[in-house]
Amino acid sequence: MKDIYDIVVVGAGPAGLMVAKEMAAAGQDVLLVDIKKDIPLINRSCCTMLINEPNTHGETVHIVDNNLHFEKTGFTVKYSGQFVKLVKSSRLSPGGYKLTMANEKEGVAHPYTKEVILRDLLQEAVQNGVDILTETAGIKAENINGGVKVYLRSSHSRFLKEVRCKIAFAADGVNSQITRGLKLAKQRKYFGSYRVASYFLDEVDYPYWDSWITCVGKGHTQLGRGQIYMVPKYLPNAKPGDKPILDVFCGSPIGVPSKQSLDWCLQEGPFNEWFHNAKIVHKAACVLNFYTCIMNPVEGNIVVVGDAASFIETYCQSALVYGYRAAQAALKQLDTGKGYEDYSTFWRESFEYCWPGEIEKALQGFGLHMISDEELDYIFSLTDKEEYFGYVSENTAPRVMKEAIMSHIDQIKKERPETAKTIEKHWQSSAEDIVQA
Amino acid sequence: MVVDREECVGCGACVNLCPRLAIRFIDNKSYIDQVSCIECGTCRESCGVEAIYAGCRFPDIVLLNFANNPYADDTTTI
Repeated sequence: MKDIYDIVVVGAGPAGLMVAKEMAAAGQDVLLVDIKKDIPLINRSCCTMLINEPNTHGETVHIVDNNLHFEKTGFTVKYSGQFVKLVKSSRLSPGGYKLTMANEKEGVAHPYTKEVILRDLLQEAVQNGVDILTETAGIKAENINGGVKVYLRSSHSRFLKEVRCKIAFAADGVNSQITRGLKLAKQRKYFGSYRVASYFLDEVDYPYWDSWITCVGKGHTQLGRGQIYMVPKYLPNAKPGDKPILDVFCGSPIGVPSKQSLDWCLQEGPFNEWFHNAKIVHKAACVLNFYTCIMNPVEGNIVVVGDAASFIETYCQSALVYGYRAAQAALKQLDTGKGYEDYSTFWRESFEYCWPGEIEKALQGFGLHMISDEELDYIFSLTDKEEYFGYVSENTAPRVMKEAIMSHIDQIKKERPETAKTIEKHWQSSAEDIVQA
Repeated sequence: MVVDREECVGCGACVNLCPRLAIRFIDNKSYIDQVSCIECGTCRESCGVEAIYAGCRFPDIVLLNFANNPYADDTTTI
């Protein structure tokens, strides 16, 4: 390792690897650091689905020859693993009633394996000559004399090491240490934190292998707080023809034990009969802090990419896009002295959560927190037999859900006037109310 | 705070949340430096799989920082 590099990238997730690989391909001298020993290893809960809906975060992604093709930006990312095609996205009430969004032709989402994507990206980065430092944390970055000083600390040392570079990228994820040290972070608003526990289960007696399941309602968890999701996906070593496993994960507000909620859901929840013979093949966890987006993700020569700048997450696929765009912008900046604006404008215009009102809209779609389970069973019994066109998406699914429920509002008003009032109140609720519920 | 490395799944969440930078990621799992830890409980509260517990070096401070603080409703204590 040297003391001076052209580029330092902190965090080797999809965004960081993409930046490092692209910058090195353009002849820059790049250092990439990550706290993990094995960079492709994924122990963070992540649904890792290809969202094939057009214009998701400003990009339309297709599967072309089993690779991910990004239509608008115009690049392809190699993928050598398996895809699951999900054709339905259902919200499931504790009584077993559903609100289903479906797209039989294109699918609503395609879960893939992040580990395989990262392995392939890492290989390319190494081939392009990126210097990689594992088990090293990026602690702080400072703009100094037209460049950046990055403080690093090895997991095996008590001392900080300083590295100088022209441009530093903070790609260290949703709980970004580098971003927290910037002035940019002071403009962010904090809503609350969720922690997530996730089990990959084999031998599940499960009826929804073609669906993304969101369990809505309080009856799914022991304490009535938090949310359970289920998604079929492949393990990194899966071969064509293998059966997918089921990733069941539980997110709950800080203070509510997520693992305990998940264990309870599998053993005593309303659908426990699916899991009687289930075997846990892998465990994962994560914490998400809900912050508003960084609107201008560049401070001096420090560029924030991926989840580090976003509200909750950018999705793995969009992390690749923003990584690619940030790298192109940085190269232009080095060339002409004016390039960062391209990236920050694209970020603001494409990432939906930067737009006013989008955070509330998305959160309203996660569940119906003011409505009791009995009322929820009633509402979903009205939509149970129907299928609404839609995708798995944080940004558009809430609208589909709202329209589906509102299409029955006259009947609800007649049969359950109180419930109708609560439903209408739900669409007014603020982001804080929902996160804390 | 102490990490049960058998239970830790290695998600890395606590590493960046520690206000004292006391958590290191060694062999893809968390390890808490006992000299730097101030027993604030941030990592314990953030662990998705409940792999972090109090080593009880400073039992009083530990209790006050827990979500289930037994003295939370006790208005007579200062």
